[in-house]
Amino acid sequence: MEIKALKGLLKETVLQLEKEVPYASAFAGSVTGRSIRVGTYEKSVQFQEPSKGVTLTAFTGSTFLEQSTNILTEESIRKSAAALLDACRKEGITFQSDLTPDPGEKIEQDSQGPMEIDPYSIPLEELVSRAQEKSGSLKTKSDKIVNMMVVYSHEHLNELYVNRNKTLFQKLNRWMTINYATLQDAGKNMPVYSGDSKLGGYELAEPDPAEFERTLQDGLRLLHASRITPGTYDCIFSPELSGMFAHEAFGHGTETDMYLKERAKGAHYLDKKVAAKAVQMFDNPAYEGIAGSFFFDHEGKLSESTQIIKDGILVSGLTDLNSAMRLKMKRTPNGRRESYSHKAYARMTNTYFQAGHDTLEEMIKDIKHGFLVDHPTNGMEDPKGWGIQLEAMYAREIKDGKLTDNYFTPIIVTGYVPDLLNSITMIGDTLKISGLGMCGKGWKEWVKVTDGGPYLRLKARLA
Amino acid sequence: MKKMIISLLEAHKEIGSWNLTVNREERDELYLIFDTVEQKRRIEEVLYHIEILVHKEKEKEGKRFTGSSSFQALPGESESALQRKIDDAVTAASLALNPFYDYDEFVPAKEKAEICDPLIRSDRARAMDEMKEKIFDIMKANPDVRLASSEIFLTCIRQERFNSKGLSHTSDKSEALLETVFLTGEGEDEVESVLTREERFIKNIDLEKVMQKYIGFARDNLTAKLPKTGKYDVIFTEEALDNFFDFYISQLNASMKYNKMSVFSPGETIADEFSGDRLTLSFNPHIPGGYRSMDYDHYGTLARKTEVIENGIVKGFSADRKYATYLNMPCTGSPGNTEVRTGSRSFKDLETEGTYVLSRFSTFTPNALTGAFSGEIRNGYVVKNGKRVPVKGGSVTGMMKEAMSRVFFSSEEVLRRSYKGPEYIKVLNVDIAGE
Repeated sequence: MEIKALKGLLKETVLQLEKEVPYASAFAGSVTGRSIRVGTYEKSVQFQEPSKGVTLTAFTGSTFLEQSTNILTEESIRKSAAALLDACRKEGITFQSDLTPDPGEKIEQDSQGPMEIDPYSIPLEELVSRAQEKSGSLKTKSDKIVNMMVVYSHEHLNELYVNRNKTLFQKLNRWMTINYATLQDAGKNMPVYSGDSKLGGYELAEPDPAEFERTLQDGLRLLHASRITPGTYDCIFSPELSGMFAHEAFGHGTETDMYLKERAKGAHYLDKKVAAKAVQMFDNPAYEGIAGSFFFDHEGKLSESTQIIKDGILVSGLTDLNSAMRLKMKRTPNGRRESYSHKAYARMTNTYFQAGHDTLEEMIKDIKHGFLVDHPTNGMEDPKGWGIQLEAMYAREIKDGKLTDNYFTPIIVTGYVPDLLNSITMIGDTLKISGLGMCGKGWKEWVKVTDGGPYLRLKARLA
Repeated sequence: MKKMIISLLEAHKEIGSWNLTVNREERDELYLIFDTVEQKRRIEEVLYHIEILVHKEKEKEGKRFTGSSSFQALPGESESALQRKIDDAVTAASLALNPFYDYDEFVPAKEKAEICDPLIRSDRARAMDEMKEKIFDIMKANPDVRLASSEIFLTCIRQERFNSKGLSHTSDKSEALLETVFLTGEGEDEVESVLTREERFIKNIDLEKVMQKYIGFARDNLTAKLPKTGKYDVIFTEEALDNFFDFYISQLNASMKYNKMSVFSPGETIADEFSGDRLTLSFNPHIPGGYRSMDYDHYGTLARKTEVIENGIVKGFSADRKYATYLNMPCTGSPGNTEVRTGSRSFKDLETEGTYVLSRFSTFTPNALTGAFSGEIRNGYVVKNGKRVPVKGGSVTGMMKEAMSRVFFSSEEVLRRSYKGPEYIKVLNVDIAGE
């Protein structure tokens, strides 16, 4: 059964469950897609592992219980509902609780994300041959490239959310292109990549070609670059690194399920100064065309922008249904699941620092000795301790107000989040959002996110 | 449905070989916030994973080629929908031709991998309750530390595998996942320690021992200081062990060799010089409870133990059937659990004055291509005047090839997920960045 066709059955099931429990809802989702990978020595065409199933949710008055299945027959869904009700009865049901999930306003909505050219309308042969030509032509750009892989990938999500007031359906299409090169010289490897992912279709197949050229030139310089002398320096973070900084620093730290568990220091800092006055930070799933955008979250909250930091003050958390209800906080569109078979948590979407007014040249010109840090590769949050780890491909030395050709690799940025945020003195004038990221809750529960920012000038500990 | 899939695969004239895996998964999840149940979930899934190989001969080149493609079928799919998926996979495979290879001929397994916890198989509700109660009991004995949250996932998967070379094999495997967060201290100075373990058997988590250890980490964090910047001898243990050898595991995989991404060849040393113990590393698919224990790999190859590094010298590559054929090297099957030979020194001998002992990092995954490693320190201590002084924050950085030239492995051994080897790994002269 197709996801959209489950509307009536799921509505009926939810209403049936609510005859015995204070609140019930249903989420159904499917993902399909293809991935074409052409490297110098191997190629493959794979069909994305389809995820298709339904989760029924019931609230007993104190506890949420869920039952998930990927057998989408009427009989199987009714059986799941019966098993869920049975589990609720065993757990104990109360209508006397002061905890009541908000079902929201009455609304029925069908939405579809942008897509100009449906990738399924392009013959597979054309996709493979385009990737093959591109892999071949990019490989000729340097004799140090030992393997040049081009990846085209597209996925199509159908999601349905139903509760007593809402029937919401969304169709989202994502395209991703990655150019991944392995450089090698004198027994040393250096991997470099560029690319992008956005909501849309085949029209997005060719992201800015200059980006790969820039990445490749950086990679070639890094093949024989040395390690940096550990220390605290005047730094400029590239927009990509600023994005990862936003995500790790105050994205995870404002997911309010962490407040509920008393695992986020941010809970003590709501309405308090956490960053330099010029810093503005947002999480916005309504950002048009961006890979982490959607029309409603997996708990039925319609998309809108949330300002997290306003003029350096922490002003809002990112909530899911459970934490908003228990903490009596405003619901924001951040209740997200990895798939129908995973729990919903408070999660980020598109998280970014807003642009300021400074140019890169202005930011560099009075730095006596410092570094431009670029190409983030990994990051990790620490909402309780406000420690941070950002890994980047390189730091380029700045001396007497000028960028030098001295590169250091790899780089790890560590520090105390408020120290870093309060040390921001200049903010670049252009916001750039990177779409290739995925985000885990700790080390699991992966969801699509993006992050971004402008160039940021600040003090940071590099190693 | 599996009979229908097999008959459609067998009837397709363009399919050279095929492989069908049926996973029936049942998972129970329990989420606690402090001592209250936040949520309980039950998941039941059936998934059919199919891979097909298409063999083509190009007359002009006089060579044979193989294309592969895989897809999943969901329960209840009609015969016509399955036929469409198979046709699409054949088209996809025909467009992605690589050098010829095929699955292995079926050889019966003499023994079965021990990868299913009997209690998870028979009574997950009881297993879950027992774990929950044990957690609560341990917390009662540690009143200065609070349990912020716990997630327990217990999974049982029955896996049936069939292929066109005669493989017909059923196995059960289990997964026990625990994530528990401990808090201690007060107000803004409160600190946490996060315990995450995932094992095939509940007993391998060793709840009592591991919880006491992480409760201790939480207490240490109350007084922990930033380490001092400099070069120090560092003992890596606990979570750092999970991915410690990833660089060598990746580099000594034949797929990396074929794609020119490996910088090693058989007979070469894994480091430029040696002033400590020499690494001996094997892949062992027969360790009871090992996360990568198996009877057969993806290509239908009977799983077996393979040594890839012996006394610091590359002995060979781990090569599955596909890459063994491409590179004309012996087929070892896909890598099993990582097994590292222990050393002769005890932890007590290694824990000398000035040494940092680091247990937890925000992440610690050496780069598979460069061997660079780095990690923000979440828990550890430095031995100062014979005492253990807790540290956290700052980072440790280095390169694996350099680290392996001055390393000592403990005589104590540990099994964690898919790693069996020294419980403590001491690397001399490592960069630490702190205050």
